[in-house]
Amino acid sequence: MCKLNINSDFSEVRLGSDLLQEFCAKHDINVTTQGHLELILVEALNNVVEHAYKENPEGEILIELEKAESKTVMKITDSGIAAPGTVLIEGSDLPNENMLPEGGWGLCLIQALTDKIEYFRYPDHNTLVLTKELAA
Amino acid sequence: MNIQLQKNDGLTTATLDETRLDASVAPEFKAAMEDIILSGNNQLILDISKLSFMDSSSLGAMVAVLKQIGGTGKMVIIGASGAVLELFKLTRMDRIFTLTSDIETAKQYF
Repeated sequence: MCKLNINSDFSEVRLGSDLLQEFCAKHDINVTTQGHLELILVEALNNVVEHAYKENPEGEILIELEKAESKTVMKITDSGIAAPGTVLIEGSDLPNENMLPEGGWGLCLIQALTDKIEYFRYPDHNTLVLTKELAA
Repeated sequence: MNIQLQKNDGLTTATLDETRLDASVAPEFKAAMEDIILSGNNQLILDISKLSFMDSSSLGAMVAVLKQIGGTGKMVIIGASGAVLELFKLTRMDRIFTLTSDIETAKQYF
């Protein structure tokens, strides 16, 4: 298992990416899957920084990466506020350019790229468990 | 934020000389691009071929840039590949931005 503690600061999120790259190299995970895992991890960490800690850089985030049989499990633990309900973005109409969203894709991307999402709220911390099956 | 500008025949090519765009630098990218547009460069090719990773906050910054260019200007993005191109597709922003693989194709949109 690979573990890393980072502060809840956007500039530290890339340390999580560095850890993931080491993890993927160690487990011989292909470039496409690595790209998906990095996007999932970064979006999830961004959400913790932005929403759980409200961009307070003193918060701590624990990242744990584990390969179990044919899947990768990424655990993210923080002591911030609880996550709100998830939102799925649906619809097919193209919006007017001036009405285009400039954010809010994070959860949608995590849902699109992750096979299993589990969220555990404990009295003093949150743990998000993101599982992705690896192609044979 | 390293962005190299090249002007030719009324077109400006802005080459992003970075390998990663994420939430820590997205505001800086947005501000730099806004400065470029405000300097009169609203016929713009944005070359992101050096990017190997980009997150959704950076995509949001690109949407803001596209809005700033508005109806009188135009921006074509070249060089999105791998995980970066997939981000555009997953968010369906590939239908909003004009994406091409090379500069010669990009020029045909102006």
